[in-house]
Amino acid sequence: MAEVMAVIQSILSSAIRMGVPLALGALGGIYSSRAGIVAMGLEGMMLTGAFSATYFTYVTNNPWIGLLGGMISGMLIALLEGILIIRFKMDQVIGGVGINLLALGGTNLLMQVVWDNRGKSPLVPTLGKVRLPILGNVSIILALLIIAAVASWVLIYKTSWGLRLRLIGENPIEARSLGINTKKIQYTATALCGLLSGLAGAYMCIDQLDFFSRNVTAGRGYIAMSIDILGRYNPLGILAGGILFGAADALQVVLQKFDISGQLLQIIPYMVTLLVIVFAVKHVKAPASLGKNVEDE
Amino acid sequence: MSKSKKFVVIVLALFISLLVGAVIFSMCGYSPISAYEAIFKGGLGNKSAVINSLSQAMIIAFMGLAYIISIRVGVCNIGLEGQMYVGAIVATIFGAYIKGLPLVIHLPLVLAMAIIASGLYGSLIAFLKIRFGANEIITAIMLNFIMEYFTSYLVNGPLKVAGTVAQSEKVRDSATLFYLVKTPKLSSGILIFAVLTMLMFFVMKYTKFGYQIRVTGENKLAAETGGIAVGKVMIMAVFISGAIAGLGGAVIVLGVNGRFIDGFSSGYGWDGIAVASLAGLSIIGNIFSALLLGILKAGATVVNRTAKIPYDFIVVIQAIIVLTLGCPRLFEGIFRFVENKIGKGRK
Repeated sequence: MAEVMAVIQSILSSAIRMGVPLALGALGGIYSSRAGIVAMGLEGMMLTGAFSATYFTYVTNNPWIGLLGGMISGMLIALLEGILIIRFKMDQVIGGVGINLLALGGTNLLMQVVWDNRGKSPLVPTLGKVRLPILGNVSIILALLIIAAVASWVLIYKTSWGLRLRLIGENPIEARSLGINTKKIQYTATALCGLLSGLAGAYMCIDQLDFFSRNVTAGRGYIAMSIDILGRYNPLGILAGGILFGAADALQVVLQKFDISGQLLQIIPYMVTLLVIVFAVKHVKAPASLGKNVEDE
Repeated sequence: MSKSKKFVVIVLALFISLLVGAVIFSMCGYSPISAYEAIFKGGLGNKSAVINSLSQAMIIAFMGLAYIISIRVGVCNIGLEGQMYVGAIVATIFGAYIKGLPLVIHLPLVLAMAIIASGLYGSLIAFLKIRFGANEIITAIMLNFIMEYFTSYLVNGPLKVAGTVAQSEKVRDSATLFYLVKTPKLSSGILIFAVLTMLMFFVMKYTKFGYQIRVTGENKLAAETGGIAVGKVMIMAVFISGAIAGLGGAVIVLGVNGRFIDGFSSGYGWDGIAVASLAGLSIIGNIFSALLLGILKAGATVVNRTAKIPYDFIVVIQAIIVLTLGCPRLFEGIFRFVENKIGKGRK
């Protein structure tokens, strides 16, 4: 019995550990999606955040400064995408593809320039842990995630800013005719998306791991996009979705004990995402203007 | 945008991307001019360099063509990478494990299987979208990852040939594309691509199906009112797009590497999106943009070996190409500015 408990505990705690970056990215994706912008660039924002957090931690030897650096870099690359989409009406999917390519090539390139290594960065100090009952040692960022999710729920559903944000996602033309500065809100939402995904990336490299490696996010940004749909673009919904997908990620770690090919195990999170998107999330209504650019007046 | 303006935009975007490349080289401590000189020498300097560049360009061109067809019907096929893997692995299995067939039967059979499998894998995305309402971006990316790891599993496990390298057995001679040049090898896959390009150009321009694709891509509602079975046209076009990507993968196996080598793709699917953007989504332009990127890639491999310039600068250049050419309004502002200046000058 004690053994079973121990296994359950280990799965749960690794599900949470793996779920944190997914949920953080998904939380960022909610702001973007609610503003009518497809969160295609999440992957690139997370990767940028991951690299920058490692870099600033490496330079200052202080993971908190690294965390800040990761978040700000995530925000900057998000705003670059935001300008192309909001100001210049770029196709949202292609904009995201470009941003993701830029982040992938850019981080790999900088890694070689800064550390002269193609594979991974040197080890860096990590953020501290806090001790909780049942879960054991958990990351401080887990606490940040929960606070951010609750705060986002209040912001999106209980404030007038949130009402305007949701209206833009549903009907930007009507929002504009009501005198709402739609672009300003879209830029703010994009910046928040970048901050949160930067945080997600930072978590991966200066908390979960203690280094940056080539393409460390490996599609986590796209999985976060799926969590947005599964969680119905609701900040509290994505917490549950984050744990679910975290469990899928954790499953591959647990199963490593058995004699199963590593490559097959690596498929699990992607396969789970595919199955969930195809079979489990029918009738989820996305914000009506998601993916569509509206002409300026 | 007029044709001449479109051309100016492409030249401008290319210039900006190469400029970014130059900044990267100075960051690495190299003079940009000598770095570009080394790259173009590495890509064009001698016979083997030219052939390497052509080989690279050929594969990228398949991907670019596949992407263009999907965009024409209004679907952004970002599942090219997965479809290419399907074509490559199917070509490997049928090419290496069927014995005793003559070339005239074996090779066409292998190519046909690769085309069908990868086409189906591509249209799976459209099917899941139409039947289950599944978000096509997410399904495409997940199918990419799944196939990347699944093929990797196969060549690390059941299909692995003895030795340290994770790779499959060699495909049989009866399934190998002949070489146009023997040393270094230049595959006749280039001829397949040439025929394919002419075929697609003709289909898009002169056939009813091509017309249906165009109308569907431009305006779904109008297409439907005009009596076009939009869903069917979309699935068929995505099938073709996936099949072209898969054929590219098959050519790598049957004509370039001779087998499935683990991790052979340096992101060819994404290269396709970049060259298609650089070509302004033109089927003929795709040939030239693929050639340019092929030269850059082959040259980059060389300077990566000789000088310590990170290969990944290519990916950054591609990203800039996608971000600039994918965003036409960026240049409209510049044009307006220039036209205003000229207008004032005349007064």
